[in-house]
Formats: sequence, structure tokens, C-alpha cells
Amino acid sequence: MTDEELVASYLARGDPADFRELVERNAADVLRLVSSVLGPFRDIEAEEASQDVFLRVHDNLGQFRGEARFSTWLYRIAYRVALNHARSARFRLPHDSIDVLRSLVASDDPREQVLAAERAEVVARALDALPDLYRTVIDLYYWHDAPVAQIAQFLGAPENTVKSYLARARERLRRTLEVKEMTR
Amino acid sequence: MMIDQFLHALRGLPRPQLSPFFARRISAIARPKPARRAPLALKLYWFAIVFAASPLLSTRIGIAAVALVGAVMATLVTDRGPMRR
Repeated sequence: MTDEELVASYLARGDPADFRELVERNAADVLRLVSSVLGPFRDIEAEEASQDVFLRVHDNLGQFRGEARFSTWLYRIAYRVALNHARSARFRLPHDSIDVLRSLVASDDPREQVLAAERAEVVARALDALPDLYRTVIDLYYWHDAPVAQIAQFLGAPENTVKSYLARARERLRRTLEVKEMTR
Repeated sequence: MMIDQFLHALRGLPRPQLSPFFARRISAIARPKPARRAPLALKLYWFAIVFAASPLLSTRIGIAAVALVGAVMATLVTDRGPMRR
């Protein structure tokens, strides 16, 4: 049974097992998308946001016309909900990307460690300064190792557009870092 | 600056996992809402109103009477404030 058929069945019969099946099928992808918007080390918030996504989907299931694929409709809701969570999360929580990237820098030489940590801090600040869309694409591609085709599905955009988002995000990062290097 | 090195290092970060009973929990919270249907008594009430009002609306005096009753009802409702259940 396809997702669209499950939706139709749930709307007709109201059997919770149908909705549970929908959640089970799509939860991992929703978590992937949501956590990419929120960033690393936000596991609890990512699960909360995923829960909100499915509750919103449930409440609006009657509005799903079946003209597009269910996953397209679901990802659109997930991205919106995640953005709302990210905005409130940023307000509530300090950024930890700097610590995250510092932790990735491993070296035995203390001097090299300090330099690498400084570089990591600059990169992390540049990453945080990226627009939400670019940051999401970067997280999906590099952190979640998602193929371009899947990112395109998540964002409802053609694959070439996703590739250009990736290129532009990298270019922005490079430019920001060049400016930082020059001003040192 | 080795930006690519840092971006590729993101792959080493742990990825979030959903709690084991996530789907079960969601489907327990998300209960299907019963369809909102007007009760039969309310349908009969509106049927009687329309049945009674239709001959009135065919004359000017009838229209004036319906408008007057409507205005009086609107005033009463406004004076009492918002209706409470």
C-alpha cells in the first residue's frame, strides 16, 4: 500500500494503525530533515520537532488532496515546523557548533591544536552565518551524507538547484573565511 | 583555510535517533477527530425557521418584520457580550 493509499484509508476508516504505519515509514526521513535544519547535538529538539510535524500532518490530513506525493507534502510541513523550532531554539540555546568543530580537530601538537581550534571557530561562525536553506543543505549533504537526489526531494527543488545551493554555500563560506583571514 | 576538510569532518558527528516507540506515541496522541455534524434537533430548528420565514419574505411587511427581529436579536446578543457555552 502506498503512502497516499494509507492516507485515504485512514481518512475513510480512522484506524490508528494506518497512521502509525505512515509515521513508521516516514519518521526517519523527517528526523533527518528536521535535524539538518536544527543542526548537530539538538537530538531532543529534533525529536520534539518531528513529533510536532506528525501531529500537524495528522490535524491537516483532510487537506491533503493527493495531487502531489504524500512525501512532498510531508517534507514541506517538516521544513516549516523545523524552521520555527530553529528560530526558537536559537533564542533559547547558545550555539554549540564551535565546540562541535573544535571537537573534530584532533592533534598531538598543542600549538597545532590551538591553531586548528581557531580555524574551527572561524569556520563554525561562518557556518552559523549561512542562510537557513544553505545551512540545511550543507548539513544534509555533509553531516547526514544524503545524496543530492534525496535533498532535492526534501526541499521540493530540482537536483541542479540543490547542487547550486551547495556550491553557493561553499562559496559563501570560502569568501567569509578569506575576509576573516585578510582582517587578521 | 581548509573548508572542505571541516565540511567532510561533519560526517563524523553523531546523528540523532528517534526513541523506540516514537510512532506508537504519536499515533496514541493523534486521535482521529469525530466529524463535526449538526445535531438533528438543530437541523429541524433551521428547517422550521426557513419554513416560517419564507412566506414572510414575499411581502414588504414580512421583510420588515424579519429585519426588526434580527436587529432586536443582534442588540440582545451584543448587550450580553460574547456568548458562552
